[in-house]
Amino acid sequence: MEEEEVNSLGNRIATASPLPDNVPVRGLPELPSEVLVTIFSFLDPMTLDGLSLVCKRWKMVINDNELWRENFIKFFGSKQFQSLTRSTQWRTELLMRKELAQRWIKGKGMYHTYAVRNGVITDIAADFRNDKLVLFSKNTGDLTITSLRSNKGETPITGVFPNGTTSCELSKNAMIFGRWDGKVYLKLLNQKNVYLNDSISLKESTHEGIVTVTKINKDSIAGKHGSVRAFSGDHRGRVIGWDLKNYQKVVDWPISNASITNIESNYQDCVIVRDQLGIIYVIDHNLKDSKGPMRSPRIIKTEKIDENATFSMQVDFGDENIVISYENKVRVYSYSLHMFGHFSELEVAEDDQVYRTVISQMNLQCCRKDDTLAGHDGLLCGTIFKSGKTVIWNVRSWEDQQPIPIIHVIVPKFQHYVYLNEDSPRVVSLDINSSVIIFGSHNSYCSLYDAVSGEFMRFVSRKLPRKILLHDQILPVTETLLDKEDNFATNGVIVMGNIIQYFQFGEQKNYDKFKKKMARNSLKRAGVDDRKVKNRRHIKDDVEDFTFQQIQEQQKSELLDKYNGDSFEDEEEEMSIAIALSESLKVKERAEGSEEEEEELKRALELSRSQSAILGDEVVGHEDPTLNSEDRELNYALDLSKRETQRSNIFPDGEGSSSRIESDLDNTSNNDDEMELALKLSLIEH
Amino acid sequence: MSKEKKIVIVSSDNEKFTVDRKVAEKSILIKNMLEDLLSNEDHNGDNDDDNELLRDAAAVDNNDLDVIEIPTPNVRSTVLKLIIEWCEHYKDISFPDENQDEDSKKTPPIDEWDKNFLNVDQEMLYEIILAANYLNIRPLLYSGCKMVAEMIRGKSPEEIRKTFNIVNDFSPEEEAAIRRENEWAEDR
Repeated sequence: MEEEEVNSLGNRIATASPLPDNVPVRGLPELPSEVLVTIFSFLDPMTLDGLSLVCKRWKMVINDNELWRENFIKFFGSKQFQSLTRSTQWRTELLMRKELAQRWIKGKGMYHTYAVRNGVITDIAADFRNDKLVLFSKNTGDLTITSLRSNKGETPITGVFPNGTTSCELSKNAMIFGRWDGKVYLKLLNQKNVYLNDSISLKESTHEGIVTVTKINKDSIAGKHGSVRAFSGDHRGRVIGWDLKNYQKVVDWPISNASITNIESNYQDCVIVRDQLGIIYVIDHNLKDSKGPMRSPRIIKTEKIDENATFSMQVDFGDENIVISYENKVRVYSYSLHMFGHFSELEVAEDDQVYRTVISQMNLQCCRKDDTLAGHDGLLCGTIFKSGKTVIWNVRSWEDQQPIPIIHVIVPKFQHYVYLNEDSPRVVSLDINSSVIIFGSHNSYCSLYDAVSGEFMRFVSRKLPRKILLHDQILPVTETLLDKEDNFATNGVIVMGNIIQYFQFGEQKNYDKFKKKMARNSLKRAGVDDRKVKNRRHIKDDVEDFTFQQIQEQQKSELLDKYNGDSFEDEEEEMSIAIALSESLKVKERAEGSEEEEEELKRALELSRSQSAILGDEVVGHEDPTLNSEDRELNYALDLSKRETQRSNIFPDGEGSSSRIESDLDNTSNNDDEMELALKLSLIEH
Repeated sequence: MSKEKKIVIVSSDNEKFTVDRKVAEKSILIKNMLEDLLSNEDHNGDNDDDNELLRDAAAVDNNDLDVIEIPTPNVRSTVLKLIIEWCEHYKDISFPDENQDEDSKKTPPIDEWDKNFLNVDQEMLYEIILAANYLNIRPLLYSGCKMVAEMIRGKSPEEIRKTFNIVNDFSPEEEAAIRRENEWAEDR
């Protein structure tokens, strides 16, 4: 290296540089915008809000979506990914992602490892919010319900199969079985780990023969009357949809002549059925209120494949894509109107085989693909190959007849790896959410990779304690599950044989405020008025309360008769009636034209029902002025009922309130009808 | 044969620094340039005409087959000297993004050595950042940006203005408006 002393000033003047612009930089404000953004990208979102107050240029840079987009791509190397924040702002997406990645990488690992008394687990359903884990072994029929984080209250049940079960599916709330004789059974597994011992036979089963597929809504099995929450298909091509509240069949469709092999549904408006001949039927039907006949299904013909081959079909309902994988093929078909039946295929090496394909399904019912989001609202899918490599690709980004664009090819590394033989693949399980990919090895180790950059993040699993392992056995990772109920969660569960390992990195942060903001924004983008949504939510909650109260009311109707018109038994009751009475009068004053509170509530209920039915779809309708006035009335009613509960809460010990009530009473004239109404109300309160 | 070539990096003030190829290739810009240059060597340098630097370097290359001169017209010699020092320090460490220049990925956390290395006055820090940005040395760029971010963190807008000598060009009304906006900071 040359060590010549140079007078920099002199040289700068006499420079031979081909670029004339050679003015030295004096300070931070003069840095180019792209560098400023890079600097800002190392700060947290809260700090950034304050920084826009520094000067106009900083404000401009902080709010420049395009700059942040470039910075994101520079940092993560990808512009098509699964949105973490569901924000249109690349800044938000970048900063939250960085923060979350830090938690994944640096967060202190908390592990809990335990063995359950269950056969080798084949099916698993985890409820991270309610700390519940349901495990099932298809081989032995053993079922275990336990607490996810601690294995407290482990409830093992052996042999839950009804005799002659030919198909079954597990969800966190219930299990559904189909039998060889066409009967379908349901077992409920409720929140408190109490297990209902008898399985319920679903009525009017008309499967003529073996039930080949059973499917249940993974999120919730309760629904209003007439909504389909489960499906079953038989070997003669019939598909039945079940209402799990009344254990009744709601739809009964003879779809094919061949045996049904797969059923997928969003339990809203679409069912995808595949039969043994490889024909895929797309059925558009309102599954929330199933009336009317089936519209003729739209048909996609795919290859007929060997019955014994491992075949999987998964559906992206948000963007209308069907992913099938078998042998050495991975294909994605579109069933959207303009692309119907078109497909794209993953390029696979001649001698390689698909081992498993997993779609990251954040929420099945999740709204339509939103192209305005940072990252274009992708949906990641991972395909494990027998060769040990894993291909990560985007279900929502492909073109007809072109090979599926590959985002990453990852050959994961593990803490410890033993080569067994050619038949046992290196990677045996994987799961993806919007931030990470977790891989499970065939010898009980797991590793974590960044879902956007595809970079290694950390090793996950701990070595299994000796006392748990029976012999020096090598346990493959049967299943890895990330907490997908919360995008910002950094926990998950690993299943190996009958051993469970729960892990969590760092403290779980509370992003509630942020999430609320995001939800509000996405609704706003969809053109829904914020306030109305809030009201609707309130209404929905209150409707549930009210239904409950109505039942109580019926039960107490005898009591009502007893009290009606008579003198009251004690002061407390008198008081509460007085309150109710005065309130009912107030309603009269405010909501002009409405006669009785009850009637109004009923109307409010009906309105809210109709609103929730069209929620999200018909925004224009809500701008209607008449509806608005109804809205207002509704608000009053709600407000009122809420205040009532508040009052009755403070009532027993509130001297001040009772005096106020008395004064209220003075202003009201006594009227028999009102009295009766007030009584009803007071009873509802109790 | 290309391995034996000496790389000479020329600063804006015409100072020449002779470095190993390995060191020079810490800069993705130089790395790409060298790759283009050496792969095109046999084709008589018939390459991208848009790239002025490349043509310049190629011209030098034709004159002297053993030395490749690379001009860095945006970097002063004092800064370039530091940059080369950094590259020397990290010459045996490979960063994840070095093989795929365009889709760079993650950065290693700011390391103690970098912290000491970047413990220079503000102006020099900015020049290093700028040079790293221009030469496309991501780890150095990110370390530098992190240093600045650290200086910003936890400061009020007023303190930031003072630290970085920034003039507040908002009128009081505008400032109030932004404050209001931030309160229910919305995502547009």
